[in-house]
Parts: sequence; C-alpha cells; structure tokens
Amino acid sequence: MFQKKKSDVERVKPLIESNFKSTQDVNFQTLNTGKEKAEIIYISTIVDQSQIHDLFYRPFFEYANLEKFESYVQSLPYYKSFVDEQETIKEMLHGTVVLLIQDEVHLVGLRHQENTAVLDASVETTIIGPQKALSEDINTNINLIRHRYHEKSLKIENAPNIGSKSNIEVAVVYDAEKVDAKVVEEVQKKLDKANRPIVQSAGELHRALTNKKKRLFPTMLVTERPDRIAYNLSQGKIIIMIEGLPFVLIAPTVFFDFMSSMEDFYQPYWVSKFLLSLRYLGLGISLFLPSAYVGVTSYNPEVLRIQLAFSIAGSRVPVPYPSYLEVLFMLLMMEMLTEASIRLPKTIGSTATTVGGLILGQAATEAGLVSNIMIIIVAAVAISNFIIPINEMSFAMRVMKYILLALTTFTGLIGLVIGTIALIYYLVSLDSVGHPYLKLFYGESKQQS
Amino acid sequence: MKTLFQTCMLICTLVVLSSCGFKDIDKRSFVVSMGIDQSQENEKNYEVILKIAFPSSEANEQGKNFQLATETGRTIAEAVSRIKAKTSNELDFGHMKIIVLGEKILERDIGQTMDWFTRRRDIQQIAFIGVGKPTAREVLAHEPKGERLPSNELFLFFGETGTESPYVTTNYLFHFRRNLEERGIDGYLPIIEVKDDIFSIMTMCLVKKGEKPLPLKDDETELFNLLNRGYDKVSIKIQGVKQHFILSIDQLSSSYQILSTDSQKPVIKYKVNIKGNIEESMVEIKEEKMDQYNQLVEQVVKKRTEALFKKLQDSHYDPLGFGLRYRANHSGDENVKVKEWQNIYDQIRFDVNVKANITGTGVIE
Repeated sequence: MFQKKKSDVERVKPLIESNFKSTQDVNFQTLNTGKEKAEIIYISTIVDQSQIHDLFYRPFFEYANLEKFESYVQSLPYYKSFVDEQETIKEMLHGTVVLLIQDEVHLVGLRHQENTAVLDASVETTIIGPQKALSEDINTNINLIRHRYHEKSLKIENAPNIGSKSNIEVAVVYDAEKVDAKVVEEVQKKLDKANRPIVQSAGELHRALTNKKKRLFPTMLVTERPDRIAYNLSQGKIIIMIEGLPFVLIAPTVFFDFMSSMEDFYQPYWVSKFLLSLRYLGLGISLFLPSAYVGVTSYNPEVLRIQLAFSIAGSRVPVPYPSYLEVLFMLLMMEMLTEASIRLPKTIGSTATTVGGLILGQAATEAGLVSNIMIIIVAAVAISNFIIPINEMSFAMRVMKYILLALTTFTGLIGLVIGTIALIYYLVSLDSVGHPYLKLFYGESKQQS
Repeated sequence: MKTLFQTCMLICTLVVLSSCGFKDIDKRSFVVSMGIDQSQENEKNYEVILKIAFPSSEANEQGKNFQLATETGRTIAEAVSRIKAKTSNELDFGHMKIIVLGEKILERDIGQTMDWFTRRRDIQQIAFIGVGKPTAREVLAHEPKGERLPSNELFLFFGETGTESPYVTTNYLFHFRRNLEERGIDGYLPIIEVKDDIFSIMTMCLVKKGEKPLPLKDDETELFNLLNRGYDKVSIKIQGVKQHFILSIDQLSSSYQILSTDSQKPVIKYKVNIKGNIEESMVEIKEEKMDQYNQLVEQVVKKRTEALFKKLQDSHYDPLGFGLRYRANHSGDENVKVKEWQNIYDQIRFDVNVKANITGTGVIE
C-alpha cells in the first residue's frame, strides 16, 4: 500500500514534466518553508489565478506543517481524489491544480472560464419573454437552468467527455420524476458510443448521436433559450449540454416542437393560435409553392382562375426557358443571397440584399430571364422559409423543396402529391431516441386527466 | 461514388425526357369560348368556332387580343383537329368556360351534339352553356368595350360574380347534360343575343331530346328563374286595377307537393312565399292598406305562375322536374312510372298558393 502510493508521485511527476515541460503556460513550482516541501503544478491560463494564492500559498506558510496542510487541501470544496496518471493529465487540461505533497498526489479543480457572459438571444428571439440566452460556460448554463427550474428532482449527470481530441465536457440534465428512464439510458448509451475526434457544436454532437449517417431532418432540438429548456425539462425531456457552447440539445423531440416558438406561451390564446397557423402556412408555402408553380403552369393550367392563368402566361411570354429552369435559376439565386448574407460581415450585409434582391430581381425580369410572377413566388418562398422558428428545420425544408420540385418537374402535380405523401412517410419512419418523430397528440391530454 | 454517378446520369436523362405532359403555360393557346353553328355549305356539317385568347404582358385591355378559328366538319372532333393544325401553340380547353350553340343546331339531335363535350376529359364540365341568336359566331365575334379578357363579359354574366339578374339564366354543361339524359326533367338554355353592340340575355329556351326547343318570353324567363333558383334581390311589377307598384323581393322560397291519388284528379300544390318591400309606386301607398297590397301581390304572382305552368304543360316540357319528383316519391318499375307520369302530367291541375309579406312601403311617413 505504502509502496504503491509512493510510486504515484514518481509515476505522475515525470509524465507531467515530459508532457508539459516545453509549454510556456504550465507552472511548476516548489513551495518551501525550509523544513517542509510541496510541489504545485497547473496550467496558468485556464486556472483561476486570483484564488491560487489564497487557497494554497498563504495556507501553506501559515500552517507550516505538511500534515495539516494536506488535510486542509483535502477538505477544499473542489478537491478530487487521484485516480491514475492519464486521468491526471486530462484533469490538468480542464483546469485542475495538481499538488504533490510528500508522496501523495492531490487534485483541486480551479477552473477558470473566460467567456461566462450570458449572451443575448440571437437565434430564437422573442418580442416579450426572456431576452437572454445561454453562455458559453457549462457551469453558468447549469446555473441559469437551476434558476429557472427549482425542483429537487432536477438531475445533472456528467457524461463521458466527447471527442478524442477536443475532449469536451458534456452534461445530461433531466427531471428525474418526469423523465422516461429508458430514454436516459438510451441517451447515455449513445453518448458512450459517440466518437469523433472533434466535437464543437450541438449540431455536431447531434450528428454523432444519431444512428443514421445521412440525415436531413433534425431529430433533436438545438436551442439557446433557457425558458425553452425549463419548459422541456418539465415535459420530461432530456437536455444535453456541451462545454463552450451557448446551445443545448433537447431529446426526444417531435416534429411539432420545431414549429413552436416560446412566444406561443407568452401571447394570448388566439394570438398564439394565429401565429402557429401562420407558421404552418409559411411552411406550406416555402415547401410547395415553387413546385406547385411548375406543376400548375406546365401541366395543369386549368387549376388557376382564367384571369390569373392569363397574367402568368402573359408574364411568361418573354421567358425563353421552361418553367422549371426559371424556378431553379431564381431559387438558386435566392439561396446564394441567403448564404451570402449569413457569411458577410454585418456592416456590408445590407449591400448584398440590396444588390441581390432589388437589382437582380428587377433586372432579371427586364432581361426576360424570369417572369414577374416568379419574382413574387421566390420572394414569398424566401420570406416564409424564415417563419419556421427553429433554424435547423428551416434549413431542412429549404433542401426538401428541391426534391419536391424535381418530382413535380418530371411528373406534374401528381408528383407533388406523391412527393408530399412520401415526405410524410419518411417523417413517420424517423425516431428521436426511440420515440416516434411525427406523432400527433390527439386525445393524449384527455387520457392524462 | 458509383451510385451517385448513376443517379446523376438518371436525372440527366430524365431532364431530356420531359414528356408530352409538360407544356409551358405560354406554349398553350387557351380557348376561352366555343361556338357551334350549322355549316352554311352543307346542312349536315358543323361549323366550330373557337375563340382563342392571346396572353400579353400588359395586364389591362386584353379583351381584343383574340383570334376566331373556324373550321367545318362532319363531326365536332374533326373540325377541332383541323383547327389544331392551324394554331402554333397547343390548344388548351381547360379554360373554356362558355359554349354557345347556334340556334339552328338546337333543331338537330341535341344528344349527338353534346356527345363530344361529355367524352373529352379536358372539357370543363362547369362551362356555361347557352344559345347564340341568330348564330354562335355572332356572339363570339362581339367585342364588348373595356373587356379585360376575351369573353370575360360572358363569364361575368353567367358566373354571378358580376351581375345578378333574374333574366339571365345560368346553366352548366354538366347540369344541362344531366337534365337531357334524366327522365322527368328537361333542359333549358339561355338565349344570348347581341343587340346594339351589347349582349342581351333576357330570354331562354327549353330543350328536350328529339323535340323542337320551346322559347320563353322575358317575363316568363324571369319567373322561371325566380321559382327555379329562389332568386332574391329582384323587382317584380304588380299591376292591379287601382294600384300599380314595383315589389322588391328580399326573400323568395317555393315548395310543392304532387298529390295523385286514384280517386282524385292529380294536383300539384305549389307554395310560394314572398317577402319584400315596395320600391316604386305610381299611386300613393298607404301603410294601412298593406293587407290589400299583399293580396294583390298574391293574385298577380299566382296568375303569372299558373300561366307559366300551363304553358309548360301544354308543350310537354318539364324543366322544374316535377316528373323527377314523382319518380322519386313512388316505387315501382322506372319505365312504368315514366309512362304513368306522362299521363298524369297531361291532366294535372296546378294549385298555386302564394303568401306575400310586404315588410314596408319603402318610405318613412
């Protein structure tokens, strides 16, 4: 026993030295009162340096007794016991101070995170309702959630770190009373299995967690809103938090979650119902309008009112290409505009929209490349796509509309109908950590009561 | 990689193969209305007139942008296929909303003429159908002033999005065909004339397979439409000995019963309820005399209705479908019932019972 402990220090010290000797921000220091000696090792850039002096240097000289100092260190709130040398290196990289006192290795977590500021909600904004989102620090985020969800059954579990290189801390948060135990098990199993060298975003983790490699629709919800997190906790959902990211993953989810905004809870009943129906209308427009245009103008113009049919026909007269090329051209232009305005610095972002939206649209019709009606359709599609409150879903729908467009181009309105049915089939076949994805809640509230 | 390549190839080949179903809207010639006349050279042939509209990019005043394509043929299909050869774009009947039959065509077997319309899948069964007097060509060739689209004026007349008049009889293709085929009800068609450069749709005619059409006068047309479709927003003229006023109808409903027991002479009890107020009067109207006015309205409407029914009965026409009602209310072999009804209809008595309710004199005293 004694022999083994002695070898702890002997094993750990050379390993740390060989790993970190050449690194500038690693501090090796010997505390020496003359009689007593102790060694302290830490990476200065990720450790809270203001506390180091108070916690270690001063007590060491005040006690002037190694035994007392050792028991003092062991009773510090951030104390972690030594496991093995590999674990020690890992801990050091996460901001742990390593103390070598006599023959024993002591670890004290003194992590210091620079970006703990709570950010403003920028992706899912609401008019009324909380304006702050999460921060990039996992502890701050847990703090935020605890402040919104005061419940003793709230469980926070540390999952194994994700990513062999990035080695990022992941926490699983749930309400133990509401949650389905099977789902927790499933999520933890998946987290164990997830192996990617680098995981830096919620979307990436989501990718690592799903079985299917090629996925179009999000089956876990990425959110930045603490109020949404709290609401979902109360619904028995699991929150997966990732260090260094102001977003969390929520699982399991259904399709309808992606269409809801937290605003729905803050508005009067009829207002929120109106907004919700507006959103589904927007979804319909952005998905079906381009393909419906092709189907109606090129296969079944009798569907339209005669006055509209004539104005479409009239505006299409100077256009040399068939309708699907016209639609494709304009849609691609619009996608580029959207992409460009994401990538551009904010200061010149408005230039892109002006040049793209106004000049391009105007000139394209005058040049006879696209019809006037097409411009209206593209604008309607672009705008209504942004109505979908969760970004990931709106991206998925952006891709989906091209599939429907292709089907309609080849087979007419029948293709659109069949494509829509196929889309529903596909959504039904999906699952979110074992729970059905496209699930209706009809009658469920009645059963519960 | 290989599968990706294969799908790409598949898509590329499919793009080339955009089949005959795909035809852009600007590569189609929209037929907005169709006329059928008797050929001038050969009495047996049809002359088919298609009014083909040209879309143009300017939204207003497209009414004059049309072409009348005419061909003759032994059958309608023949004539249409000849017209097809004369137009550069694909003929599209999807927006053909008006069918005008020439007066002379009605004298032929109407069933044969309608055959083409019921078989073609691209003919909209909700097209309006009417009679062109004297010819269909004259109706189609007319260009009303300020028309937004070719034939738009006729769409407005019949579609009730524009004018709503009891003189304008509206009949759809599907309805007309149904009335023609069904035993116990007869078809009717509005008569479209061009008078002094405007459309005049005031009268109608009744049509039956294998018989000469029966034209109705304008006041008969008005009454028929009132009873048949329960038109409101109508003014009718009430003329008595002393009073002479116009009743504006707000509500009109009618119902009837066919009583045909063996012992009695068969009777159709026809009830009409009218609610309305006085719109214009030649003499002074007094609030106290309201009962008298009501009675007068009842008398006048009763007289007119009975006269109309008598006329229909004498000419063996039944556009209101009394026979159909009889068939629906009696059990037995259909052929027997139809024969029975033909006997009954010849001797049936009409008992018209009008209830008028004038709600106001139209002025505040």
